[in-house]
Amino acid sequence: MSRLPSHTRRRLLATLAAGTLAPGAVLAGVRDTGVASSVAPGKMPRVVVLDWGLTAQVMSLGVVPVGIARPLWYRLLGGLPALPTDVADVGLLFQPNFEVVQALRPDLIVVTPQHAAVRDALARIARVVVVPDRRVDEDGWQLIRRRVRLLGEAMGRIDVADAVLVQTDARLQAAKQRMASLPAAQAPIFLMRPLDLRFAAVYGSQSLFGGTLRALGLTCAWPGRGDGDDMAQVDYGALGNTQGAQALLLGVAPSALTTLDGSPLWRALPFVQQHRVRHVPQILPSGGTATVTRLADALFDTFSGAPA
Amino acid sequence: MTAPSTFRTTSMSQVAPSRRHAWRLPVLLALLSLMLMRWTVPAHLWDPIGGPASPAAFARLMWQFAWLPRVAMALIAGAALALAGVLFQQVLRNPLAEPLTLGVSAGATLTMTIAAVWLPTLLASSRLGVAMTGACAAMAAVMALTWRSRFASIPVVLAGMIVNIFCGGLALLLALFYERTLTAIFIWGGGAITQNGWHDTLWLSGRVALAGVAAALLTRPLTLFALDDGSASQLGARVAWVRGAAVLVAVALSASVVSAVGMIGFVGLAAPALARLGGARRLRDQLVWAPLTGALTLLLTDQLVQCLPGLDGVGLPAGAAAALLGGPMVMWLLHKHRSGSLSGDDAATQPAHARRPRTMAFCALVCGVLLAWFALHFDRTLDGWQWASGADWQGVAVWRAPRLFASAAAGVLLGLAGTLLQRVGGNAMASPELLGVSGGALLGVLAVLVTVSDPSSPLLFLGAVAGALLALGVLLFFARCSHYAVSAMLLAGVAVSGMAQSIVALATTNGADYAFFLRAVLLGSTYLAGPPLAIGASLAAVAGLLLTWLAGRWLDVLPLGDSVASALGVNALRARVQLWCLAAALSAAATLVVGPLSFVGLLTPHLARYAGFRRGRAQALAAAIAGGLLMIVADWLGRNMAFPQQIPAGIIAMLLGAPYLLWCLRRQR
Repeated sequence: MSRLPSHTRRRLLATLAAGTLAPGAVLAGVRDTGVASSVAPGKMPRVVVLDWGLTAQVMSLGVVPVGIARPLWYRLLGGLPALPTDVADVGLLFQPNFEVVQALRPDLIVVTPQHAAVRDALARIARVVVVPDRRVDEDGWQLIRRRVRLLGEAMGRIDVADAVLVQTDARLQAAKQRMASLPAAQAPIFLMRPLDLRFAAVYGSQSLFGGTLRALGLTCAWPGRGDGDDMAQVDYGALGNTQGAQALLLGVAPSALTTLDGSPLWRALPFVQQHRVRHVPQILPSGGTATVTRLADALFDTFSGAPA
Repeated sequence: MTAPSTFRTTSMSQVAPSRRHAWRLPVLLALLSLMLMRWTVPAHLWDPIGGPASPAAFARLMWQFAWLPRVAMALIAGAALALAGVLFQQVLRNPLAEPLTLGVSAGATLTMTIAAVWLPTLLASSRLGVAMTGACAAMAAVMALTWRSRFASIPVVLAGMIVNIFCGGLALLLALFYERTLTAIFIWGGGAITQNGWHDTLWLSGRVALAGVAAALLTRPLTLFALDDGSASQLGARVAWVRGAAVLVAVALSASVVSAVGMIGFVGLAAPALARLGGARRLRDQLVWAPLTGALTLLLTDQLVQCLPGLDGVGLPAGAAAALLGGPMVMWLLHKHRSGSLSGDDAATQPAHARRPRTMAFCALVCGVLLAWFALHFDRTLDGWQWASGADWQGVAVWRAPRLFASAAAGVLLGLAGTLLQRVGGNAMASPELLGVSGGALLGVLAVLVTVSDPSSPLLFLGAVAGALLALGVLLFFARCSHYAVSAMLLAGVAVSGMAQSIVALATTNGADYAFFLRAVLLGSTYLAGPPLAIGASLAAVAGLLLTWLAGRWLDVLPLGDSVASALGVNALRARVQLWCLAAALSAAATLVVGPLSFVGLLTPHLARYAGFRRGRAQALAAAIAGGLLMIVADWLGRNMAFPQQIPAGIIAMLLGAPYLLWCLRRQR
């Protein structure tokens, strides 16, 4: 647990307030301005994170974890900010290797409520922070706001957390205004990831993606009755009944799309027939503020550029 | 000669109505399906088309490319499974034979999972071929293993279920490491009939039509299989040739269905049974009515599933829903049909003489202590392989010691339970894993996970105990009905395990986070063992050893037969029931630690017998030591093989044990 020296904090806030920087750049700013070197060794909280979305959030708050579960998957799932290569692998998501976690001497272990079975064992190593689950009445973006503040408090960086929230809000506001002038963006949007020829994962209005769309003044086409993160697995037929909707495919390889085009049902979907399918890169669905800003940027790029 | 009834189960044919009423059930199923279709047809289908983008236009397309092919697929797949069931059951003379119990589905799932992880392009281009390879390989394995027992009912089903559990375990292991790649496979594994065009339906219908023609051609020679092989050959049938051809047709059928729509359990079991109950007693009648019943059963299940709301944003797959009905179905059939049993006395596993058993036991014990000491100190860490000493050791001992003691204790418990079951039952294939007690414990954990949003570890353990006790109750009920016949109890146990597996498949089709957690729990929790669990398991092991020691005389007397036992002054029934209970309690305690998948309880009594420990107490003690050693090795391997990922000890023990087990089964006659 540590607080940044005040001069560093002011520089960090200045960097954040610049507002046009991507979270990755914010992080780079933090590291380049020498926080790590100006803080005495051991002052930067040593954090172990057992969830990819929370890893992204912790990194967005300027803390590089000493270890996370399965770093390979963080990279494959499009986690941002980028993870340095020296972050240790602590094992499986729900079965971390306790010896490795202990050897990393963490000050703090960040877990989700789904880690209940390992919580007691982890508590013997260091303080365990359990982030809250989504309440029924809130969307993913509101949940992230609560989580950011909790993480900021736990890591002794509440001011950084507030600054990140202020900055993200500002960027969302700016993006909302720009988006309002794009007619292509106004139709309801299915944010989806095809799983195979029969099923797709669709993100509902209560998911983090759905919350971001709402904050940008856009409409999520899937009403939302999914799992804890409000993601549902549906067959393509369920996507055809929303009038005038469009589809945004997350991180689909062109070869997979060719296969998909071979399916008569896919070709029958209104948004395919009317050529309203667009592509955005792979984005970690639970990745906190970095996901929010990344999605906002990707949406603006795809809607302002040539239609896919 | 009138056409003989297919099975010599007189009770069934006496109760069943005559052939003239065989149409009743199919008509009922069809009417129910038609009623449900009111809710499943696409909305706006009957509206006038207002333009190319109107809801009605889309509804027509949906009807054409999703709804109709789905109905056709359900009908074809159901008919194919039922046909395969009839063929398997006729030539193997086994009312329990069907694609799921023969291991075909699990083989296909395993190859699909492997392909999804390492060869995704192959999977995308030839999904059906990949699944077919696995299905055929699994079936070939089961056939090869039971060739020498002439495909007798119970060895075939046991081999199938072991292949099933083994492949399922391997697939689970892959799922632990590659969870995110496999979402689509999990859906497929649940048996979803959803279609996206006519491609798969046409592919399957061509194959089913071919198989139907083949079955029709085989009808006459197959009818003779109602007699035994000798009489059939005297009547001019070329038994081996006909059996080979029929099995080939049935395997091709079931593999095609599995490839096209995934695991759909128990339709192949239920449809022929229902057709027989409906009055179709001749093979020719069964070949007509069973496929029809199967087709309509699956159609009804699929329509029903479409009307139900999904769980956590995931639709319920039809296959898993059908499988839920399957476990009770097996038990009910078992109740009706009592033929074929495993030979209890297995001359090949009786060794000539023990050589210095005490010295060997002492050596094993010393080995165990050395092994434990080694396993506690020498492990991989962040800095590579290290011998922990001094302060380092104190740091890691907190984690390693409880795991080691819990694993070893679980091994001891399983060794004891296995010895008890095998000696009391007089059967070399009895074991806690196959008696369903472990499966029951698993279901208990699942129930807790599903109902409680934030379960703590003690609560999970309580759930496991409750589940194990429930399974034990069911088991004892069946035991009483069958006068404690081991083969019947084994099958009841296998049915419980199989049901547990399908419920787990159902629960994990969901890509949600708790599904990942669930998969981890299934594989045993030595990993989570803290000092309380380690102490508890060790105490249970000591208590088990003491009680088994006290029961030593019973263990020697009971295998000699009930009359000998009575003559020697032992109340055989009471002794048996008490030993069953002890074995079940020991298995429940062990399952909590290593999960339901290890074969330690089956393996170690055999090892003890090989080493020459033939008396009850000696065998129990030796099996307990062997179990402890095996689990210590498995736990150490699990910690280090894929460091920092940890492979559950139970599954490593299973991977070590299953091949031996299948080899044992092969030698049964």
